[in-house]
Amino acid sequence: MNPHAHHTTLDPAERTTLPLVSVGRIALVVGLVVIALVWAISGAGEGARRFYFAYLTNFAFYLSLALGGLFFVLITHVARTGATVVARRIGEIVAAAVVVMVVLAVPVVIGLLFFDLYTWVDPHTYYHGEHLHAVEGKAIWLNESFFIARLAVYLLVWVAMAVFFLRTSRRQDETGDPQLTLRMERFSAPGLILFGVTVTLAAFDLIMSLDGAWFSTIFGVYYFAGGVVGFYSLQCLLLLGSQRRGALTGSINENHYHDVGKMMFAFTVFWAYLAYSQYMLIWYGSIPEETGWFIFRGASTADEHINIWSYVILVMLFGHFVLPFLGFISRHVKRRRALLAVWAVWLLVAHWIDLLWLVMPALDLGRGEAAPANAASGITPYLGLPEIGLLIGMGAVFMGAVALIGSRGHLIPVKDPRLGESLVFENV
Amino acid sequence: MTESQVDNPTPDAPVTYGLLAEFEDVDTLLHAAVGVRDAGFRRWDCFSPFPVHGLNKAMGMKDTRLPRLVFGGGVAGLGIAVAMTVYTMSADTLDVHYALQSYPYLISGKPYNSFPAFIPVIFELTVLLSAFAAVFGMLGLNRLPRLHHPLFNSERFRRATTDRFFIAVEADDEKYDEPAVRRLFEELGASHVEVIEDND
Repeated sequence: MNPHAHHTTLDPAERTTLPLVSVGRIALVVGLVVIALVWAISGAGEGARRFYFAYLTNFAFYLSLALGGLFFVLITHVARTGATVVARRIGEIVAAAVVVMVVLAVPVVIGLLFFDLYTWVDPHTYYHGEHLHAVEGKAIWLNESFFIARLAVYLLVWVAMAVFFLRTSRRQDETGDPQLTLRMERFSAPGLILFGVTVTLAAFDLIMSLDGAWFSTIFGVYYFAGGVVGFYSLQCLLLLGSQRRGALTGSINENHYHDVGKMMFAFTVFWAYLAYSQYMLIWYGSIPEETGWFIFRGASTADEHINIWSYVILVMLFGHFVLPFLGFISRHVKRRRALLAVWAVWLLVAHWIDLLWLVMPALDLGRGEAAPANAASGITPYLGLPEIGLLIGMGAVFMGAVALIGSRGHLIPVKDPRLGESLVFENV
Repeated sequence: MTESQVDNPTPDAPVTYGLLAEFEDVDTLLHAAVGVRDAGFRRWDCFSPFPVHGLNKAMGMKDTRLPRLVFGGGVAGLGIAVAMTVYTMSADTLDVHYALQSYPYLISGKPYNSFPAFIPVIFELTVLLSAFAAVFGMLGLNRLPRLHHPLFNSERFRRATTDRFFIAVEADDEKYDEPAVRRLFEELGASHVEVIEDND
């Protein structure tokens, strides 16, 4: 026999489960306690508004990871991928963690209703002149009740899709019925359309509408691209973590990590492409109602517009594109687990900084009498207890949910008809 | 011309290209490749109708140098494009010879040197020169294009595109010794071994 061939069937001694129920429960409780503590310290009085902005930053961050997982599952089915079957269950589990985002969405609604998280709830306080006119004209879309209804619909669609894929895939673990694969594949194409529409609109609502006067049609894709980078990084870390704990040691090898690394690389470049495309068109058009958003976030070389966010942009230019781009070029990096793990953590941090840059500057919107376009002087840096505390707290809740969902079954689709193809996959 | 005549005093007489061994299936080919590799040959190759997983490893092939060429092409493209765009749009070359003068052009009131506008040019040239390096580098490293190969002199070798697997060891390999190579092939399970002439 060929000495280099791997086996096309799962080794019976392979550990494919990782029960982490108690760890998951502890993480969930600790996470909720941390969120409550951060709220107790900073969620009342002067800093109350900042708490909700920091909360939205982290909500959008973890939501994007779950959505990245859903996207991965959808494209795996729509393309009938053989190679990534061993890694698909991790995607299904992360996608299903969108269930906790339903509960975690409640403070976003509280922020909307009581703390002017979205300035369009009270346009006369936050906008002037033409901006006020523009925001008032959007009232038919940007109003509290419709916003809450839309948010509920998005979450419902994501939960339904994530649960459908996880349940169907797990049923196949028991029955081995190939019809179930066909069922998931049939749903994946319309599912992708549904995914594209809901994610775009959710990005518009949750983040873009923070500045009610601004708009960018590419914004949803930008948020999506960052989320996919984050998801593949998380998937890489989850696979490494599972293997460290003795699961999936024989079925996942450097060929599969190589694929995950390629996707991290590809979507990092895609993110940079979108970031540039969005910026370039607005810079080139130079229309005040569009450029204001960028000037407010320090994206200008004019001295009077340089603020703390200008440095954050440099951090993202190098941290979210140039350095990872150079780092990911070599195939050896993508096949070496320790290096890949470092890049995974790096990219997750970069994606989080990106969301911080998208959300937090809006807290200064309408301060003083200036319109957003020339309010650069009022900008303050936001990186402190609310932001980092919620990153940790919500992270514990999210990862606790991932652990609990993951504990309930196998970590790879053990009876998928394409599993053999995936096990012997080689990245030549 | 004279040099080749010194090396090869009778240019019309056929020169041996090497020894070609035929194998019946993939497993024998992989096993034989390991044997030829371990015998220390350097100028040899395997032929198969389809890609065989693990063959690179069995042959002990080193990683291709192509990625380095592509990276070099990309860096060159990046550098040339940055230099070109910045120099063309720079506004202070009026003192130099007219042939070297830049051509700054005011576009919608933007500063002459506006990087956002240059990025598409920089990106395109980086991709173009990387692609050139990849395509022409691949052809160069494979010594392509060529119109004929001595192995095509073998009738049996035609089956390399349908149902047979081959290994050829070239005569200019330092370790080449016809009877020894023939014995090695037979030990490794070759179903047929033949000498290939190079009659160019």
